[in-house]
Amino acid sequence: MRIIEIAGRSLEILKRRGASKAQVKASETEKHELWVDAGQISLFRTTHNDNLINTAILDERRGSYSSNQLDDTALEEAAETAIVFAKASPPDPAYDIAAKQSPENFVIGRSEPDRELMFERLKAFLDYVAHMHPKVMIRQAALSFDHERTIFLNTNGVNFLATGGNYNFGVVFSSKNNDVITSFNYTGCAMRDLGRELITYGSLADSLARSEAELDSRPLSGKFEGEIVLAPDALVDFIQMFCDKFLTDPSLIAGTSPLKDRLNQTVAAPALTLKSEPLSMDLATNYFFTRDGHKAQNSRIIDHGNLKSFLLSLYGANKTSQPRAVNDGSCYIVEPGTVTREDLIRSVKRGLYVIRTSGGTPNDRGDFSFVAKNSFLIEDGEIRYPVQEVMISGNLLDVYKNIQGISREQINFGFHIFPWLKTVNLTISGK
Amino acid sequence: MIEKNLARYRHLFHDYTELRAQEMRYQVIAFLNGNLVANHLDVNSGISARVYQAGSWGFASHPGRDDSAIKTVVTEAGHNAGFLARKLRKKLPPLPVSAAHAEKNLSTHKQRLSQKELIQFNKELEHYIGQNYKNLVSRRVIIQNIDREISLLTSLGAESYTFIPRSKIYISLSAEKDGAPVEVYDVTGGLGHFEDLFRTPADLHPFIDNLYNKLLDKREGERPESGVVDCILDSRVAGILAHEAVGHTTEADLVLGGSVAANNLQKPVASPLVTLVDFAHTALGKTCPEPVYVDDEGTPPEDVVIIEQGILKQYMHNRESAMLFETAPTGNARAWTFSDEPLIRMRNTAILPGKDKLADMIASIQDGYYLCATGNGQADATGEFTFAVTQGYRIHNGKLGKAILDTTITGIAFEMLKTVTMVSDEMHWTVGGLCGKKQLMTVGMGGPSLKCRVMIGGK
Repeated sequence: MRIIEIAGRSLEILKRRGASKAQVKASETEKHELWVDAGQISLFRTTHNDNLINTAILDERRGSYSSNQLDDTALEEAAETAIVFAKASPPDPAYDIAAKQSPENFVIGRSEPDRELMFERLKAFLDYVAHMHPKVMIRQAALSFDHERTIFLNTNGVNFLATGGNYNFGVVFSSKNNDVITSFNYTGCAMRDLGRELITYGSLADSLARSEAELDSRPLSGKFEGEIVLAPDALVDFIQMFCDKFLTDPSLIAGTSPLKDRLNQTVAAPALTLKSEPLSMDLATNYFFTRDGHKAQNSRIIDHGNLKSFLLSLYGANKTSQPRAVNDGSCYIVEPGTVTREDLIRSVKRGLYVIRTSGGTPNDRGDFSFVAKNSFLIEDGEIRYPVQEVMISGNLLDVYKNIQGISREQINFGFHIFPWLKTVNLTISGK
Repeated sequence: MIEKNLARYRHLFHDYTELRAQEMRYQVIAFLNGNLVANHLDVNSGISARVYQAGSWGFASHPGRDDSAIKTVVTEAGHNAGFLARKLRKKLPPLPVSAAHAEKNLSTHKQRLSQKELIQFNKELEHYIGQNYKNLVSRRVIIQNIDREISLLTSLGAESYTFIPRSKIYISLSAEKDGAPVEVYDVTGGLGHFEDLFRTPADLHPFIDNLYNKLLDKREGERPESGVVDCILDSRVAGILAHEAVGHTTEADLVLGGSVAANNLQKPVASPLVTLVDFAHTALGKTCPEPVYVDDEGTPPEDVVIIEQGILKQYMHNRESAMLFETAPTGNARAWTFSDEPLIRMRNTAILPGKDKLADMIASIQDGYYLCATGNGQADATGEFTFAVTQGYRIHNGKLGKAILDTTITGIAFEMLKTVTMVSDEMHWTVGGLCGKKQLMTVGMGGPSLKCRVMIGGK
């Protein structure tokens, strides 16, 4: 295969040019995408691309260079540039590459799209929405088939090859009735095949069914301390922010993560178990080795409220003397709870059913102020009406400590699996 | 480098066709607490074609740059357009015809710095911070350079070549207060290569000192009281307001999707003090941060006066939306990389300066906030905008008081803009703006300081 030969040659050139340690990651990708604009199928796009990332370490100095040009001249130039960059870098003993592991070849999913079926499924989805939810406007949508072949080699003998393809679907929509329009909402999913109608995947059916009700949205007056039930779509952002902000290299190397000394300690309510499972066959977006070239494993990040793993890279682990993560995060699964989502809502005295949030990211302490979008007021256990111009303020760490319930239902998005989750002690403020 | 002139491939075109060669060079050098955590250059180049057939689009791209790759993308784009055209059979008028010609290369004429020299520059800044401000928990210094080089040929006769570089230095400082971190950051730089924007590390010492003083203020800060408040949005914040609150809702594809701007053309949507323009390449006699001399459909770009003295006047268009709205395209079609299709994107969106003085504006507020720096933001079809505020101060009796901690502000754009009662005489362009809308895009955002009412999050 072309990409294997190119990666092998690149590694040899890096060694020849003086790298004491080196790694090469080469990939070829193909995308076939149908694009919807203002409710109409508008574009069919096919892209082909390559990528070659060379990383060189000499005398504890590291540099890297990537390009999508793979001719002979480009390969020499790529290696030479990585070496020059490495020589320019200050030394750091934390720079390293993955240790030797047994070579492996991973294959998953389809190798080619079914274009006719893609068109059929997308058209059926648009027809379904037009028929069942006539006030919903599909602003934009994309159905794509993405295929990638990637090889990872390093001078310790690591040799991993992964080949895979899956479908991805994303949609942005709102509802409109005369001059009244709702906030736009969006959701998406990943699938190994198109065996079912698109509406059956992820939270699409739920999200679209709820959209027209939002036409009746009203502002809220005043502010109060309340409870929120996060829908799975909202939890996507909350989980991603928690992991990116507190568990990855930048905040742990900087020493600003409030969780830096909390490994194996309680950081969340016992109800919460958060896993990262890139190998799970329940998901459609698997990966098999990390960006450092370690064979990926499934992991528990939080186990019944206890922090069990950071998401540190090899460099981050060496820098902080903390354990390296066994994967690169993502592919998140929150284990289901014991109550129904209806029971979670019934348990709320006064608060919000939060579908989506907007407004920046939490600061280094975890403090946030978000606007609750596509969301609903809950009073005395009942959903009253959709709200607009409402903010939720709180602290991300407290959100997890104050969890009061997790639903037994989950939504499988194909890239994550999340339930509904209730937490308390947020400031909810309106006009 | 890409091929500057694609004219010899014109014979490959049958239907409406755009052929685009594009290269993006992305370079990053990042120090975190004295550790070099990023030392990387990425070069991504290739060729793409987009074809329009009977109301449907086909697109194809390839990383190759030779004749074979070019023939492949034109053929594949044609097949893709044909696939959709046969299925959809749209009956639409033809696309508007226009063809721009331009050649603009904004590269430096100076000797380029080596990677070693750039790392040394960064390291000296990093060292200055470490030596002078020892009570910091963390410090981050990032050099980021983005070069976008584009050649375009269209079947309508447009031909262009542009090279637009951008360079910025991002600095963030964190200190501790009661065991919790407090962070401030700022960015400097803009249009041009590094060598044209930055001379010596010492030139940036006042920038760093100023940022450190803001950190000291913020370390003693408190969370704002949530609710609707009077505030002064500093000129460094006005740009993101223009972009998020108004700009997105007036992109014609979002108008077609039902944005709030759809029913408000020629109606008052803001105070008469507000005029908001999406500039192509020149504003108030100066080159904008993201100059567009030809858009990625080959359209000659026009300035779009979106709001004029409070009245909503125009939308931003590509060829297809212009056809649907029966107007002229405005040159807003832009694609991020060679493998992306052009979408309607903003270019340099700004509120025009007024006549008031910032000091008078602050003095006019009894109880409110002065909001000085922002993080990312988001727009909505309803006109509800949100964006993060990372630096600000309380105002009480017309005077600046304590700093505030991070917060978010929001409002409904066409209501909030009607509350504008003062507009300063300054003009500030934000450095390094990046917009996300299916694809990333470098954008310019700017404006003066504004006095208005917004909803603020907090305790």
